[in-house]
Amino acid sequence: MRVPVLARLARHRCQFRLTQRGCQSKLTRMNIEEFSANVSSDDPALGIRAALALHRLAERVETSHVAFAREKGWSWQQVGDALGVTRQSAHTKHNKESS
Amino acid sequence: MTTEHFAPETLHVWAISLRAGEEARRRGDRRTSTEHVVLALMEDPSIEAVLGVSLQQARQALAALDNEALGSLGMSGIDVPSLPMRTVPKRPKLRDIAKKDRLRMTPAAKKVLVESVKPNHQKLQVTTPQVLAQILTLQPPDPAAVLLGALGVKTLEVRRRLDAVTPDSTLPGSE
Repeated sequence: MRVPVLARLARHRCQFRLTQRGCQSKLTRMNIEEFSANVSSDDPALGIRAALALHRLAERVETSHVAFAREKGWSWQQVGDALGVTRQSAHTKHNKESS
Repeated sequence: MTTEHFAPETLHVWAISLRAGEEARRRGDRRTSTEHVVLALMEDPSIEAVLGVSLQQARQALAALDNEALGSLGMSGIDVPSLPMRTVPKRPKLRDIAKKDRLRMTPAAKKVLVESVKPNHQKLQVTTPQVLAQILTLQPPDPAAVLLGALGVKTLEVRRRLDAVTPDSTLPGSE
């Protein structure tokens, strides 16, 4: 079976600290039709919980990558531009020193 | 776990709210919900004793619920670490409450805290059993009720234990 290009790339270039190599290929190879079928579950409680879990996942991914960007020397302006928010918003949300 | 040495702590309601907010931030939530209030209450060992589960077990149960939900979308085996928690003062000052990055509460979570302090003379002081008693009145699909269900916590049993240790209190649902 032919392995998709992205999946082949994923084998070598997993996201830093976020996704294990095995999981990356699972995500990349996910069939969109299969995903649509799964989304139309007949249990609304499970579906809503899944939506919230996706929000949480996205938030954690964002936070980890912003921390990584800052380690690499990105300014808050660059982080804000990448996230589509102002630098003040990015700083308020992700600044570790605010604790 | 036993409830023999049950000594409910009186807390500032904002201490619970801020603690719950940190639990929400740790999980990656954008709002503080009732499930986070449950986790915040479990900081008090007497509440862990009454519920019969530990804070770690509750956190793991929430992670398991998330994995189950993501699994229903065909997304299994995703492991993104929780975010680090910041320290929360037991007696919060105005500057702690006024922080810009404080998460907002869901209406249900806000109602739980508002109803908990209602019977008290001092409207900003509350005991952990009072808040837990309010939590116990919630029904699924409320997140706290789902969490307690996943942990196998029997509401009536906890209610009975709460009544036994705080007989003269004005806990909601008490006969």
